[in-house]
Amino acid sequence: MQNFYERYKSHILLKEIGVTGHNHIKSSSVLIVGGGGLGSPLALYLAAAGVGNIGIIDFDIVDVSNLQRQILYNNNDVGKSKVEIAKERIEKLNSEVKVNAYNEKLTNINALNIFKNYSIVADASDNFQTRYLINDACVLNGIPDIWASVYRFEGQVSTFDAKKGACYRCFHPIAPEPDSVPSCGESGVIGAITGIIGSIQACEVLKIITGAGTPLIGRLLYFDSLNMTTKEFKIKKDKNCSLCGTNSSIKKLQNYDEFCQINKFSKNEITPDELKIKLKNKKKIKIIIICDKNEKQDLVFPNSFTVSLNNIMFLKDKLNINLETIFVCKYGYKSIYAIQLLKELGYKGKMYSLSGGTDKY
Amino acid sequence: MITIKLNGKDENVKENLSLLGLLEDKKIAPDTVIVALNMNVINQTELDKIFLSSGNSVEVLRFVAGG
Ligand SMILES: [Zn+2]
Repeated sequence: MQNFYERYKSHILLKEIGVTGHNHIKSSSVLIVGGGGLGSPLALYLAAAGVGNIGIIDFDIVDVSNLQRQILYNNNDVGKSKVEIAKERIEKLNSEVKVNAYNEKLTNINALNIFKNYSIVADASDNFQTRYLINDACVLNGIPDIWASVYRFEGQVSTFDAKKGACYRCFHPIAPEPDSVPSCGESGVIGAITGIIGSIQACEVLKIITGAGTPLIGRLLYFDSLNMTTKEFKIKKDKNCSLCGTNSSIKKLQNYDEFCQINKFSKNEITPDELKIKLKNKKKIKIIIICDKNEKQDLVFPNSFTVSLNNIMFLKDKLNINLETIFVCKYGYKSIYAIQLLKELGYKGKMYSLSGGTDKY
Repeated sequence: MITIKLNGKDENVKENLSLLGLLEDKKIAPDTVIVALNMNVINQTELDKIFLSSGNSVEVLRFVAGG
């Protein structure tokens, strides 16, 4: 008992935590996805705080270029499995912590099975596919996703908890192409920002566990270390969110590689000229005009009908799978979203979005 | 023309410009950014429905995944 108080007295002294809060921390289970720049401080601070069960999943090995920011590892670890080293390091720091090291890639096959053992997930991953996967698995399991990402001198943090506020899809429903946004390895990142942001994540995790203070639910914290400024933005829950909205269409995990590549021009977009040629050649196609009540749509297309964005999901059983479907909207943006949604719903027919929309037609 | 603040700096833009129109003028792909109007993140599907008025503050942050 003496030992326990000695070790954690600086937490126990905090009235927002105390002995009760510490006991909650001790009995909590937190999964960290990604053992990199964010995952390092996260794992170390959660272990130091005495989180009873820490899971860490990563399939990477330590590279010498990781040592600039990934403070879990040292010179002797290069070439070894990240999660194996992380487990050793955490157990050395605090032997009361039980560590589950998952030396594998998080996928739509293993995610729900792994997540069910944890009450909180911290997203310290490094790509969009994994980030959407984590969000979806968290919402489906009803647990919070403590999210953060870094770029150059900047960091962003939020707590996505669909029970109380926005999820990651409410925040950013349309995934960017995988190559449209550079990674830390490509664009560079200052090591210390991963330490700052990963530590904020650790703080959020401990607040959620103990109920202390106000978590970042429905808020985005933006940290610019180059000018040392912070900004805070509100994130609204989207009642039409395809995952956590009132008429959600996503009931199980998706194919995230496909989801993130859907915008690829070669695959799903059709230029105005290509559409004009198809129409001129009287090619059998169906045209869906996406237009909300308050919008004006002046162009008339043959063999077409108009739907609002909120009703796209009902097209799944109405479209003729043998016919090419062309989605048309004002700027060529909602049309991409419509295709994404129908693909998520499992529609297998050929779909194209008119690039640039009717604005450029 | 009207004056707005874009990432903290004054910017003159044409009237009746939507947030999506602003991104297009700046040649920014909407799926690669987070757009906030007066410190509220705007859903990507709403960008074409919201029109700028004088004095609005718009922040465009990069949507990133680095860890
Ligand atoms: Zn949502």
